[in-house]
Amino acid sequence: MGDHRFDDLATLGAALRSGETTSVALVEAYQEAADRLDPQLGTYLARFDDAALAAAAAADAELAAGHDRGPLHGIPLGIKDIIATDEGPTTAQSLVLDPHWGEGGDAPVVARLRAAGALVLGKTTTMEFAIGTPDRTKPFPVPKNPWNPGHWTGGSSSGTGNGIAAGLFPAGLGSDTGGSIRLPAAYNGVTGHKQTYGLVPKCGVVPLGFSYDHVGPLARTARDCATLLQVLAGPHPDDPTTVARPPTDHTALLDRGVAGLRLGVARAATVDGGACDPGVAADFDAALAVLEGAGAELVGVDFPLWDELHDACFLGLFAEAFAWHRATLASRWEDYGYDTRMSIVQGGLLSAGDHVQTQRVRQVGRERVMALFGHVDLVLTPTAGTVAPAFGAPAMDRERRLRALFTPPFNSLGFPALSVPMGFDGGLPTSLQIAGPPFEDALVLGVGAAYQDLTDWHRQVPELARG
Amino acid sequence: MDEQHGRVDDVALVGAILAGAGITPSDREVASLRRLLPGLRAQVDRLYAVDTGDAAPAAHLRAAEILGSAEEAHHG
Repeated sequence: MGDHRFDDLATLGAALRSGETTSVALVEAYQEAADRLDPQLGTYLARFDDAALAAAAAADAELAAGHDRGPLHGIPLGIKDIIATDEGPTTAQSLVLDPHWGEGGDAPVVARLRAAGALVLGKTTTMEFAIGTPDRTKPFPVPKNPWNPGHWTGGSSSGTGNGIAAGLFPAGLGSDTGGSIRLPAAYNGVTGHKQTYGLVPKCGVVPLGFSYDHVGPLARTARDCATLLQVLAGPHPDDPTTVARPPTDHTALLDRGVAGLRLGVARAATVDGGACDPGVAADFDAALAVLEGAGAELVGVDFPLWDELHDACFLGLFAEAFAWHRATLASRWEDYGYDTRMSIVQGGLLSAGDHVQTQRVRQVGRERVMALFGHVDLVLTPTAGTVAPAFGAPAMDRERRLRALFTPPFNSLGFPALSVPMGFDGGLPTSLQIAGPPFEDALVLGVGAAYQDLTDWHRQVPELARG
Repeated sequence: MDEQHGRVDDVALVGAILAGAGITPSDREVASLRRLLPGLRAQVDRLYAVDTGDAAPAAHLRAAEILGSAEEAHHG
């Protein structure tokens, strides 16, 4: 049997159905790779080896008996450890989280994946409560970048991002409150999709900023993300923010191409905003040329209230996180990692009026950005202005560090955004962000797929992970 | 009180606000938060500078309203 560790979901599915491999063989290969690489990369907080093998054997038996659950049948996944699973506890990579949290079993997103035939290899590293930075004083792995372990993975879906890049699983789940799916996707050279707010239920997931949180897929390709979203999406009675909509095929536009689309290029807010490295800007220009060459019309746009929506993300999520953590910040301050507690506590320094104004700006922002989408179909930016930061590098000043993240405005808006690999700068991946109006996830994913049909950045494999 | 500038000292302010919530960071951490405060306030002030008119706060995306208003604008 060949090495399928770096295959996309369609290739894995074909190999499973042709008999060229089995789900058990895939699980064993991923587990062997994890034995070798996880100590270097810090991908896992918990592995469910026996349960995964049993689930794989069951999936193989079903397939052999003619019961095919669809494109995720027999596919192993990594799940960020803020999402509840049946196999083991959820820690949120924290000493503080109640050990009984999540004992209710699978989060609905995990249950939906399982019903579609997927299985869970383990729980992946995050930043504590999905915020902060890696903290070496706490008893948890520090996730490292497979392209250069001297660099961070980004976060907070760190282990899901670096695990896909290193071939420890083909796809997985993350969450995104200010960029926590798209940034680790960008820094590790994989694909990540933050869907429209309300499309995927968040119950069974440890909250950070209730109104900014999204749960979604990371994978090798936009096509894979669409396949996962098709299973994840849909309202749930335990998450009142989910939206009941007519059934939508999120894979419907994967072969549409980009011809005839008007793609807005938000350059002033990002590339020309003083927080973008020249190497990233050059890769962005090259990506734009690919899309233009495929028939898209590129239109320069002035993104309304970019800086304000950026600020509204951090201010709002600090306030919402503070509300959830206030009691434990008071009783267990030292048990939190330094950066996590010092981030969340800033929400306690905001007034009630400040938080209300944040929400008013989000509403006005949505209206103005919707007006922009009356002129263009989608908007393009780099996902981040830099590659993955090095451990121990001199810290950028806080303002520039945050401004170099081009993801938070789409959390303030709740609009969909996809990040896809677009090149390398200094040996580390760079990434293109494709964003759209609400519930145009299929178009966002379709443009990502079109770009990946024309490029092979998403097919690159880190040297460290080979073999 | 900072008598020269006529305002409450920020370190004392940060410590007092958090103490009111039962949260007691170290003196060093309070000093770090005090250094973050001007940036935080500048971000907040930037939000108050947006012309939000009578817009109601809306934390969650209420997509039906947004899509409805866009549709209305599109069709005049």
